[in-house]
Amino acid sequence: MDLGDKSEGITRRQFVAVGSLGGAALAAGCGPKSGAGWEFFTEAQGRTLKAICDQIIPKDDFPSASEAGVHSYIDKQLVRHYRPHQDAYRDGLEQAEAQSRKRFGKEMADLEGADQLAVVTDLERDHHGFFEMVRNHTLEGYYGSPRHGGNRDETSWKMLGLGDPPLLGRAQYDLSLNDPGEPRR
Amino acid sequence: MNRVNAVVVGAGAAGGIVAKELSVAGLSVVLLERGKWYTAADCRKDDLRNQRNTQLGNAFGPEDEGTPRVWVDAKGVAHTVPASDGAYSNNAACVGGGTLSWGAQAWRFMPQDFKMRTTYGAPVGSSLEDWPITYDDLEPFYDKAEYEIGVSGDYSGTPFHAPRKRPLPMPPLAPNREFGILEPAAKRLGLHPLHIPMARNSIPYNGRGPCMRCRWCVGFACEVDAKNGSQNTVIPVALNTGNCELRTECQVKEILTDEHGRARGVSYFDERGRLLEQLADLVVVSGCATESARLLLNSRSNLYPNGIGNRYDQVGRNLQGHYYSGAMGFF
Repeated sequence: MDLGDKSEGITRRQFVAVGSLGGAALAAGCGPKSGAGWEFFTEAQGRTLKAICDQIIPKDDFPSASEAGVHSYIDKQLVRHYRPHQDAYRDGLEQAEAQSRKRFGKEMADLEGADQLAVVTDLERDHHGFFEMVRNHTLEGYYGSPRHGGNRDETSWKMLGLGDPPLLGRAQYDLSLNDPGEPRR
Repeated sequence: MNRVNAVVVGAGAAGGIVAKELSVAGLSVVLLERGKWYTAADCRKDDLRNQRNTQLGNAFGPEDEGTPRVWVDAKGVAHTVPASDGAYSNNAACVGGGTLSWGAQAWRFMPQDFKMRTTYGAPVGSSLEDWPITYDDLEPFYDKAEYEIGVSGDYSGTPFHAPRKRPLPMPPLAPNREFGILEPAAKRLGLHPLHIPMARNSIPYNGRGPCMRCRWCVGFACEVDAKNGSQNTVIPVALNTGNCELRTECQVKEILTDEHGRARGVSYFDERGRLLEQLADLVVVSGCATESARLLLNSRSNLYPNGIGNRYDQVGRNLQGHYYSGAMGFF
């Protein structure tokens, strides 16, 4: 199969995405705390994060943040370069859940979009540092190279009409693959 | 270790040039660099991990761990920041230093840049002073650097240059599509667009080929080695003299002094973490603004209880790193 040929029903990126799901599930088996498919977050934290990210970049004519795999980018980086932010994410997501239950009596992921937005707006006001961090990381995951774990299927690059690939370099790692390698030092 | 004539701390823009000048003049030189020597094969076009966009770290060092700096905010509160933080004041830890991954704009100062206080007056509370040298003092050295490092561009017909002995050594880079739109538009507005001076080869120069116009200059190493820095110009010249030894992954700990207070060498950690000494007649500190000051302040002894050169408590003060201005909107 020519992986560059997108006319065969399965695109190269879809192929890669299926492969990486399998890889992530395997990796999750090693970590007692994280949820299935997650390297850092628990299932519940992952649901909350997705809800927040999707209020920052909602679905319109193009995929939402979570559809583009932004949560996967953040999850992967939290056990890599963003390790120093682990506590901030744990605390911030807990605050978001607390606010969701206080205002609406439900888990954030189960709220209607407008109510989720209300919780995120509260977060922006009351926990501004956390909100700014999630917003920046969401943009990085949405617009950055798929090699970092987000921008699934190069979705934002297609939206922007960028040539393929806009980024090419030597000796690269790729977190969207089963065997990603690591950034060369 | 053998005593040498000079030990140079830092193989960046300044250190590379000093090492070359001294070794060509016949002095024995050891050039110490805390980072590695990257080549075009290490050219990683990583959008979130490069020297300009450091969300996931610096591609060419320093790493985030073990390299903290203290940044004092506008309210006077001190924060410890990692190397990839915007407040760090960016730096590169590699052979070539910032000139490996720079955008390569190679401007000269204008004459009034040497006389800012006289020309514009000092803002209240600032420490602004005129330079002790003038443009005319430096002109021969600008010329030498432009020809030895290699600069392309064309100043003719614009007011943005001071008197110069001769034109730049290379013609400007070929215009791109944006140039075709912006240049006539700027002229219609009464502006003076010019082919800015770039330390990028527009033609074969110094034994290397011209720019392939891939647009990945700033933040990255050059894929085809057409961008000029100390790592592909003066440092190879220094090494080719046989008088200069480059030691990478060697971080200097302090400057050693004798009983008269004269520098006699440096102590440094090598790539295996061993603490070694390099004795020398001359010690040249060229580790960029912050790290040079840090090294002087860390070099304490009975004669220099507050660090070398710090009798007036000015070392590390009034420094300015590389500042960027920019704007960002969310909608």
